[in-house]
Amino acid sequence: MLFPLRFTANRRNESKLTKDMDFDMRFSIRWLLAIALFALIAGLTAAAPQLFAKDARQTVVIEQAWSRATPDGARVAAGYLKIKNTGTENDTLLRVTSSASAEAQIHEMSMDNGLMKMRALPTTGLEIKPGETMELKPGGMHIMFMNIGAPLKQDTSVDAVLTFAKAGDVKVKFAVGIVGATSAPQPTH
Amino acid sequence: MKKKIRPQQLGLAALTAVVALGVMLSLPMFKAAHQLTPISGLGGPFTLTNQMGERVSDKTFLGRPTLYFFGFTHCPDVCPTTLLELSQIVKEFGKDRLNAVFISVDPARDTPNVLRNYLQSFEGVTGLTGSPAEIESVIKAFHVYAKKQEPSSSKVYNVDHTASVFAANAKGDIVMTIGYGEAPDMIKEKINRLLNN
Repeated sequence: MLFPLRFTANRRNESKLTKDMDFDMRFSIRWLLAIALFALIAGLTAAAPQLFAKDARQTVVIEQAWSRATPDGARVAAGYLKIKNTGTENDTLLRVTSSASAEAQIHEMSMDNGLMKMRALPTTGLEIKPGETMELKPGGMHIMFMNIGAPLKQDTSVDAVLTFAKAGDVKVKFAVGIVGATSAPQPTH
Repeated sequence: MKKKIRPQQLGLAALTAVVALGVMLSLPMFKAAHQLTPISGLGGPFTLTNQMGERVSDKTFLGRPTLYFFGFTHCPDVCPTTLLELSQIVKEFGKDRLNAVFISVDPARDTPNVLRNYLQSFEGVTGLTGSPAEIESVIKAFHVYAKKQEPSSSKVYNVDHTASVFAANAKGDIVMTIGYGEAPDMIKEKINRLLNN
């Protein structure tokens, strides 16, 4: 009958072990609770501006907005920029307005076998997924400023408001580079 | 018994080889390999009006290579960037060595006066416009596609169009095209080939 004896012995050992564990666990649960509470308070404090101020604009970050100087008599200009969706949901650029032009559209340009085609995006707008950066650049998409009131001058800027479905209105300044520029002007200090 | 080659003999042989090579390369059959062949059926005679209001034709641009680009002044992206490239090419290589010509696909809006103002920003580029029939004829000759689109709410319309540059040799034959977005090094190499043709 060696086996049951050993079994009993084991059980006895086990129960002692469980008791020890209970003591350790109770101890560590208290610690865990304390840490969790501390983290919660810290997290809430850090997140407070976003949670309570409801500054939804933080979910869209605009970078490198630029345009180019327009030749004399030109009635249109293109604006380029990078739009980063830093939020957790899809957002959509619905429309653009600018004091510099009567109308502004979101255009998509395509090159097909040497043929340039340009279309305004449908009114459903330009969707940007969370974490995604949408780049509007020469040869691709651009903001088309139509019927500009005055020629755009190099080293000035064009003010515009981008309206997003979730982030709302975002003010953007497009830095104006040289006529015919193919990349953003270097920032002057 | 071995014959000893004298230095004079060696020199004579080398000279003969150089002369022979020179004669060979000057022969038309060898030169042809370096020559750009005209792209058949592309380009043709035209008569249009330049930005100064003067009547000009394809003959006006003979005698040196010419770069032709079709576009319009209400074009926000491809046209200003390409015109800047053309202007820079003319500046770099010399306007006595090649012409750059911008032909409007939108004669309704691009009058000579509009072109003159617009092209002040692109030195060295000649602008051409004309009657709708004249433009129709030249875009057909160059196999250029140009299609007016529906106007926007502020009455601005776009014209879809071929954005390639057509390069003609001094005789007016189109010998190559330069695509939109080609690398600057590649373009420079093509211009060199065009000029040394």
